[in-house]
Amino acid sequence: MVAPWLIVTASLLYVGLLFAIAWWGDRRAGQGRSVIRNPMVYTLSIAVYCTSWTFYGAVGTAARKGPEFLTIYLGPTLMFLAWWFVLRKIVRITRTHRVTSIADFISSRYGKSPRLSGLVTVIAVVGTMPYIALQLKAVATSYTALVGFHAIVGAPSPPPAAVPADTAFWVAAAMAVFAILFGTRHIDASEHHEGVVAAIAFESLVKLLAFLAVGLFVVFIMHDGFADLFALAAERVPDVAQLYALSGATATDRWVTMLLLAMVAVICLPRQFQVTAVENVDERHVSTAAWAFPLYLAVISLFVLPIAVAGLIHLPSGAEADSFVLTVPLSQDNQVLALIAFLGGLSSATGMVIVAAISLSIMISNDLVMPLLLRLKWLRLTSRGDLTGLLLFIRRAAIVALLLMGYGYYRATGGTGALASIGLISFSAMAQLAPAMLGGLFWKNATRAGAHAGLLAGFAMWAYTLVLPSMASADWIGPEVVQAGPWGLALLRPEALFGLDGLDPLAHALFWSWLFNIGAFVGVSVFGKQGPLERVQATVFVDIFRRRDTATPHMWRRAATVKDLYALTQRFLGHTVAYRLFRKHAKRMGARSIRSLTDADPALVTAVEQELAGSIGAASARVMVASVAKGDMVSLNEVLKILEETSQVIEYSQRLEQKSRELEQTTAELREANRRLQELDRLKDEFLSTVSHELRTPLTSIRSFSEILTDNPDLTREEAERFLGIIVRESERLTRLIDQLLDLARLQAGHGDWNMAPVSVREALEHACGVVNALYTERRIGLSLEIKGDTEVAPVHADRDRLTQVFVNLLSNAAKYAPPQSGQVTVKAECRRDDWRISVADNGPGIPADRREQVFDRFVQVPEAEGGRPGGGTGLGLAISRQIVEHFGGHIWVEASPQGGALFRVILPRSGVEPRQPEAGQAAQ
Amino acid sequence: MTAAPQPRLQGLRERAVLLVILGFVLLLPPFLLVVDHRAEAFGAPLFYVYIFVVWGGLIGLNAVLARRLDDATRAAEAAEAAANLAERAQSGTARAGAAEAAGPGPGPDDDLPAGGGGR
Repeated sequence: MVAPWLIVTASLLYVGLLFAIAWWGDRRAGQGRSVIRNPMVYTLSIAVYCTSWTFYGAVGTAARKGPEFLTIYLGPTLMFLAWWFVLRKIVRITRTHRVTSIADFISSRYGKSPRLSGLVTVIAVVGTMPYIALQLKAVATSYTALVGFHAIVGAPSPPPAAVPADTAFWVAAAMAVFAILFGTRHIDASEHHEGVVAAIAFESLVKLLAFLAVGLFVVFIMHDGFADLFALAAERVPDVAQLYALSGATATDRWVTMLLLAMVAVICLPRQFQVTAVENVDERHVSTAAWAFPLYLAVISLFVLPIAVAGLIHLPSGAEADSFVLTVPLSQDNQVLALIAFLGGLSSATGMVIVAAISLSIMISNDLVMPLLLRLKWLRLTSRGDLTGLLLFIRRAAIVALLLMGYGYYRATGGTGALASIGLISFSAMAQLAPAMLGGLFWKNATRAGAHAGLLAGFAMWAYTLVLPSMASADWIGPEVVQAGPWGLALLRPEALFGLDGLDPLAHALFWSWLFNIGAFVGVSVFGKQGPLERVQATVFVDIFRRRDTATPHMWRRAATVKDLYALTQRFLGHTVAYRLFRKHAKRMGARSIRSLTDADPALVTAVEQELAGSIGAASARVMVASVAKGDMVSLNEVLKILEETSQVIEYSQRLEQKSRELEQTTAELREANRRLQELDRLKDEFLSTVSHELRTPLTSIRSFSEILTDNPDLTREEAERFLGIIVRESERLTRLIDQLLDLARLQAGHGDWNMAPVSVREALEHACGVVNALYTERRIGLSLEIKGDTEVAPVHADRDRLTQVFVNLLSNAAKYAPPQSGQVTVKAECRRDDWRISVADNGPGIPADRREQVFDRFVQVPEAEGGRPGGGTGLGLAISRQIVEHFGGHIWVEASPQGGALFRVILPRSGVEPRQPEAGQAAQ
Repeated sequence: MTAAPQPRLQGLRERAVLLVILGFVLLLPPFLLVVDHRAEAFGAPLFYVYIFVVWGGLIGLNAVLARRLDDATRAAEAAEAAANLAERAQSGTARAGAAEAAGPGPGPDDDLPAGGGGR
């Protein structure tokens, strides 16, 4: 037994410390040195999940039912394993859209519906009430246990004392003061309550250490480790082994049910949403909490069973198991440890009550009371002055009301029922939010009507299958309703609905409520249609990680004057915030002052709506902005319709355009192919006629001289020899012609044998000069060769023999046209940066400018006027030369020489320089 | 914007799904019934020993995975920021963009095209 004054003093000191920490946290935040900007503080704040249900109730459950208490901590572990897909998304959406609560979250997702947020708020408040009562009961019971240890052993918990002497009342009052002081400081609910979060994190640390202290004491001081404890239990407690496994017919039902419940509760409980999403200051903290929070849960669960077993060993049977954490140390007369444990329990209870009260008060003011007040036209709220005071008053009143209601619930139920069963009723209520929330997170086509129907159906089923039986067990209604069903209809028995018997009541309730909830949610969504704003919000939520630039697309125009908007902002956010917001906007627009802005552009309207959403919730903010910005919904509808039609038209026209483009391209290709075919046909005809003509000339002379020889056997020997000589020469000419024709055909077809290698231009030129030397000497034509540049280091990439062939062709060609005796042929070669330039000039008759290109065609010889074809050329040499040069990537052309004759120029790229036209065949044209 | 997710991130994401599935399998019946006996292990009830070993294992794996996912995300975000910056640099608003992106971006901005804003 511990003296009451000591407990009260310690509690007061503890609560004082909490106030100090919260004050310190707020002050540090004001200075910009946030204490909660730390992943471990964030994790500890999430551990507000562990309430006195954990602290006292888990041991009680372990002592009564065995391992099922573990599910309450394994469920959240599973949810946090999926952090990457669920938590991270929720946190990102909450931060991006300045969501203020879970009601705001759900209503924002379904088109900022005020009705939906109101419904969620009602469910949350109703569902949390037992939970708050549970905390008050736990504190009151623990106080009683501590003060009157010997009195209560063996007796069930006494009924609550009269109000002034009731600990629970004073705890509730202190918590209300705390929540009001630190939870309703700022009007902007999406801003962080740094002080509160710091205090909550501290409380989580205290409860963990207190629980560990008791656990270590039980295992290592009272006994010699785990093995000793369990061995002693096996000896002293009959049937203790049934606590070591799932026992009873419905134990596995309960295991699965509670695991699922706890899994969704850790994101759907208003206070969990508050600390995890709304109070998150840095998204990266989530990845640490992903393992640190489950670790916290595992550590705090570690000693639950040992304490329970120790309680069964050392306390008389029938002792209240929910108080073992206190009574086991007391049974060893360790009052200090009992006091520490009491403070741990106090901190777990107060932490939950404070955060729940703050988050619910925000929901009540933003999602329930404000929309109602705004709807009451006679209040004329939309045109009143500063509303920040009203908003804060609503929140404070809500906190007081919540705690009073919680206290009232605790008094009314008379403290009946184990902690865990009260908590599970609460969890089941919150689980009704899960389909709308998780569905909305991943399923774009979920509609507002679906969410509405699901929530209503699920909530109704929850009340019928779970609350009704608990009311019967509290003797508020007759037990016959549960046993025989209402009006004696057995089919409607709340714990065996439609004859579904044999399930654990909790599993039964969760099954029916989720079946109706999810069924209505999915069914109505699938057969319904989304409104325009719903569709926008659904995309914005589901694809949160795909959009980077803007939070909400302000795609529609809303006409509002800056004056109206300013007045609205000022009314809800106060003068300073409004001024700052508009000043920033004016600066961005390049205006000198706010006054010089007249019409609000969509960006400003959206900014105001977002800022308002941060303090009064998205649904109310939309109503408020719509009251000053006219023509919103209608235009949005129209705009979306127009958009849809326009995008269809655009798509059609784009497809059409693409088709016609393809068609055009195909036509052009066809036309080109046709043109080339015709050209080739023409060339072929021309070629055939030229070739046959060229071949016929020597053939004709061979035939006629042969006929002369045959017909005139009495020709003189000299004459006969002369004719035979002509026949031999013409045959040689024919052979050469055919050889060159074949050569050219091979070159043009690209079948020539090319032996490409770096070739020295000097060598090729000197070799060619050597070949034609005899011809030049015979005709007495002068030949001069002039080479500039370092030829050894600058070869060309070519076939040596072919290159020599080109030069021989050019030189013999020049020799043919240069006048005998006075003829002079000049060869110049120059090495430049990228290429070689070679020129061959003669002083012959030259080529008229209009025929210069034709000399490279087959069988063309210029000039051909007088003297026929000098030297008996075939007319193919230059054509072959051009083929070769172009194969090397070079060019050949002819111009007038300064001496009056023809000047052939050749450009060859140097080795290593990419040739421009590697294909030989193209030069045919 | 890089449409295709980084292959590394994709692989880690698959592992994260696997871990969640593993958790469900190990902590729910029927697999759970394998240890649902009133037996002892290391002087403590077998069921509890099993739960705490699995629990610790899942937490450890999640810690490793969370760290890697974090790194991979940051790398992907940095790459994306770099791509955005390069895009903006091309459209000629590089200066404003560079100041904006250099501020909050904690990732390595080293692989930005140097001098990209000059043109």
